[in-house]
Amino acid sequence: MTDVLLGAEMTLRGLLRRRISIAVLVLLPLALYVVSGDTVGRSVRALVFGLTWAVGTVAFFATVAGRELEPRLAMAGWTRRRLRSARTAALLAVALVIALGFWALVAVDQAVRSVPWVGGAMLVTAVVAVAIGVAVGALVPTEMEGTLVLFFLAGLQAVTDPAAGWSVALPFWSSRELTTYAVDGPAAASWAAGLGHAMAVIGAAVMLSRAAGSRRR
Amino acid sequence: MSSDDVPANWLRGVLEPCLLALLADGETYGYELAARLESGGIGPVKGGSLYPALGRLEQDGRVVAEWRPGDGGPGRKYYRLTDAGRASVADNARRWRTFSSAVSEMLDAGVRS
Amino acid sequence: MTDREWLGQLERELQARGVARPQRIEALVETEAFLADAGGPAVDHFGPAAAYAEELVRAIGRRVEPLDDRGRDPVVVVDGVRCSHRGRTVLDGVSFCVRPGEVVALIGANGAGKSTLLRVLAGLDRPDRGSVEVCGPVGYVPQAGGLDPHLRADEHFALFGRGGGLDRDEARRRGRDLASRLGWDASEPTVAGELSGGTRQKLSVAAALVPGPAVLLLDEPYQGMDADGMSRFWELLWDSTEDGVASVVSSHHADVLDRATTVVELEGAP
Repeated sequence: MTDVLLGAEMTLRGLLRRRISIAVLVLLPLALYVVSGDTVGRSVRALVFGLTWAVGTVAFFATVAGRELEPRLAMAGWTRRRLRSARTAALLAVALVIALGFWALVAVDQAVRSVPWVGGAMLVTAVVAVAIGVAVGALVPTEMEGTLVLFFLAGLQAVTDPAAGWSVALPFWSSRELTTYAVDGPAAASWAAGLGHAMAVIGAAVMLSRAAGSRRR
Repeated sequence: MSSDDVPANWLRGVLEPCLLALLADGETYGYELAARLESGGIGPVKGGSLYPALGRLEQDGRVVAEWRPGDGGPGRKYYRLTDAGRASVADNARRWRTFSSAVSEMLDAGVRS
Repeated sequence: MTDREWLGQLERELQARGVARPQRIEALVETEAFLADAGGPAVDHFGPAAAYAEELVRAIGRRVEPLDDRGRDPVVVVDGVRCSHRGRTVLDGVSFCVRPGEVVALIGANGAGKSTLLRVLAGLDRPDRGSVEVCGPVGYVPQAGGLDPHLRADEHFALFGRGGGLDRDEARRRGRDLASRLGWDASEPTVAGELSGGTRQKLSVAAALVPGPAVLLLDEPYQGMDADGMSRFWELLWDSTEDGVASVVSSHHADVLDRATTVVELEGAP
């Protein structure tokens, strides 16, 4: 247990040192939020898009930073499971903090139908984003390409017409569905579908990450 | 025979067998071996010859060494015979008897001529 | 010349002849004890330090003592390893084994497969054919990288140390000690990504040694180090060997040939 805490602490230390990157990741969604104007739905969705991208990219950065180090730690006696748990714990903690921050902003600044559900949507979004970010880190070779992939996935989600049937195939569909439920209510979206989709995506992302890791070996 | 007269290359030849013979008495450390060699008329053996010889005996497996903690000091390395070393003590004694009597004969013959 | 100076010169002469630190210390202590009993100047009893060092080295040699009888089984076994990369055979039928305290020198031209073999030994790549067995924790030092660019030295030490069951303070102490033996003060807060290449490698080597691995796999690990760093690196390596660590070192440098137990020469297959 202390191993996992130590590993999580180090992941956090490495992340928090990258102050410029962290600032951009937090400020860009805020900028989008501000720029989207007064329509409740639009601004909340812009914020959630920002959250998706911010958390996903942070998770991706953390995975890439540890890529050369983690195999050596495994040789020194760490189990793969502990390394994974440590990194995931740190990332979830960061994701939670960012999500809470944005949630507080929405709660204060907007008149949403349901503040708790907005929080729920953000929380689920954050967890999905961590899973996707880690998977991209395991699959994509360079930082530049990974950032672009994440931006592409999140951005595509933001601009796609939710009525289009194929949009369900996108990994962040659940965040859109849950946000719509929070803002527009049960007539417009289903929380069960959103949650189910989220769990399926998380499961798939975790399996992909592990497969990518063992393929190299 | 004054020990000053012992040529260095003679000492080099007999040093290892003599060390083994001394160690047959029981384990001891470097300086004591040098002192006993000298009081026995074999030497003086400089430290510079002693330790390389002991090192070679260790290499050959005829002697093993062990560090003993000293009182206050860093300790001493004690040497003792292995079974192989013990066997070569008797072997050396026998061969030396034969060899030295041959040498004595040859040298005495030179004096007589 | 005083005895102090003579002893100092003796140590330098032994080091220059490749005697590892534990054996040097033994020789010095024994010599000092003799002088304490005998009295008189060292140079009268032992002659010039250089000549005595030469004699000792010839007699004692640079042999490695096994730690105990039990520790003589090989800890690395390579059997018929074959590797291809994009259709080209990089390694073909490589076999050797390494016992505790032994050093295998991997030599060969660039592209001959040294890095590939080390990666296979480290478990980072799988051979197409043949098998590799490594017993015990491994310290792998790649030619470059292998660190988290955003973490400091102490943080790396804590992570590596934990793998070996060390707590944070003990790991930091060990890591800083290893780094200082390589000539670098690891207490500076610079993150790994901002260190110079040579210093980064020193950190990489020190971190790998912190958890006390049984096997060291080193891929030209002194890249970017200056001459002083390199000689300190080799001394650290030979000292680990004295502690029973089995090492496989790939190198262009002649130093490795002097002291290797086995030399494996890889010729890149045509």
